[in-house]
Amino acid sequence: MSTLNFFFLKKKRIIFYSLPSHLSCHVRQELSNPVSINNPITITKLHEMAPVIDWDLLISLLRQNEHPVDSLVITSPSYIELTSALIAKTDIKTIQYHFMNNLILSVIGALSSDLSAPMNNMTLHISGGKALPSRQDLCIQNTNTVLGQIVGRFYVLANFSQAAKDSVDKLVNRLRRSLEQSIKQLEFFDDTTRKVALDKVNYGNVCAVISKYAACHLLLDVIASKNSSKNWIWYIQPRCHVARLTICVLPICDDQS
Amino acid sequence: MWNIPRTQRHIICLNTYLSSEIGAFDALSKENTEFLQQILERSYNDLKLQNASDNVPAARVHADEEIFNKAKNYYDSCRNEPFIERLGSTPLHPSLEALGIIFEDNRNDTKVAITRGIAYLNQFGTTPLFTFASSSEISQPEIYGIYVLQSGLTLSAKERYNDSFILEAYEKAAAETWHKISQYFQLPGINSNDDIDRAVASAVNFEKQLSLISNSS
Repeated sequence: MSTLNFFFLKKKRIIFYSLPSHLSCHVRQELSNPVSINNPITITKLHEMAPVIDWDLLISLLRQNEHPVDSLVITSPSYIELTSALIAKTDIKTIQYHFMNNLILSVIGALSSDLSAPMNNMTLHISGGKALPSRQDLCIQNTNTVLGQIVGRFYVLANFSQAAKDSVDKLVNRLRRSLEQSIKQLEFFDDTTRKVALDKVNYGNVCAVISKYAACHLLLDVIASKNSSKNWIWYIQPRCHVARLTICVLPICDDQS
Repeated sequence: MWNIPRTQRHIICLNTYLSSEIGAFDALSKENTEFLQQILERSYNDLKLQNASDNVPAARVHADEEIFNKAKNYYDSCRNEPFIERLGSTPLHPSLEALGIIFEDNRNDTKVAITRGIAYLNQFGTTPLFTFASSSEISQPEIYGIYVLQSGLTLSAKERYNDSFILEAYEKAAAETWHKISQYFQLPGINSNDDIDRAVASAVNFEKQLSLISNSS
């Protein structure tokens, strides 16, 4: 069996993992594949798959309006089933403690320094002393996450000049040309499919997801999807088997349709 | 306007490049962070948006300023460290208490307790088992789908739960955090210091079980 090896160096020891590739890379690839994660499942079926959750109640508590919800898209059905089985055999007190622990640790970094110190020290300890982000960095990150559209708007107004926009246009056009070349060279496309694909590249929105790993660029999955306004969105995803696919998302869509 | 001097920017890029795996992207991230800091630490008028290429129409300036101030207030509250230090664990107490009441009120119906617990925590962005997101469906792009994704792991990768050294450090740090909070607040379902250690041990063990069935990193 092929294995996937990766390690990280700590101050005094090396931790070495050896994982079967089908347990890591393959599964992670599936989770980044918009087709394999698209599993709409009815609420009735969810009650059978994960009976420890009252799905009707959950939806009624979470939704903001009376619009009916018939199904949910379950990205990993096996995870939902196995989680339900795990909960069923676990004491309710343990579930409560898990919920409390999750709540405490998800906000502890924002609280006073003496409260956040244990988890910060633990992170330093297991990461070999890598510096933690400063509070200022965390606050910027947090504001950007919670109020991203507001922050993004003022960022663009104040700092994204016309020259930068022109530069991005050039980048997108280069991506488009590169994609065009790839489509022309794909042997498994028949002429009709190739023509449709080229039309989409030239007239659709282009949102590119590019691997940081240059070596991957020869093995690209090209996936097209429509967004809510029925415009085509292109996803370019690396198909190669690498341990950690850190991807760069370029949310650049120039609408020529 | 508030551009970082070219020499300083060069130092940032160089330092980041030398100390990181992917220098160009980290340098870009660092530079963007500095721009955002400059925006959030100044007033709306300092933005001088009328000089920007996409200036704001005069009729919208007031509303625009209010919107900007919401983001700025959020950022300022995060940076108000003296106040945060004085508060200690106080901001956490109401939500811990409410969560305790949910489990206490529904102790005869675990299904409802778990469901209400998930829904309650979701409003704070805490997702102990799975998380929700909405996006247009691939097969029917004209409608939005509600996506259910995996979550619940505190450590950064599921593989870390296989390492006893890391797991021990995690359990110790979590227990220490619980002990600190318990000095100011009666944690629900906890009657003694030993209870805290047992509760954290069972929570961490549950997370380890969750990591075994999780197929995300």
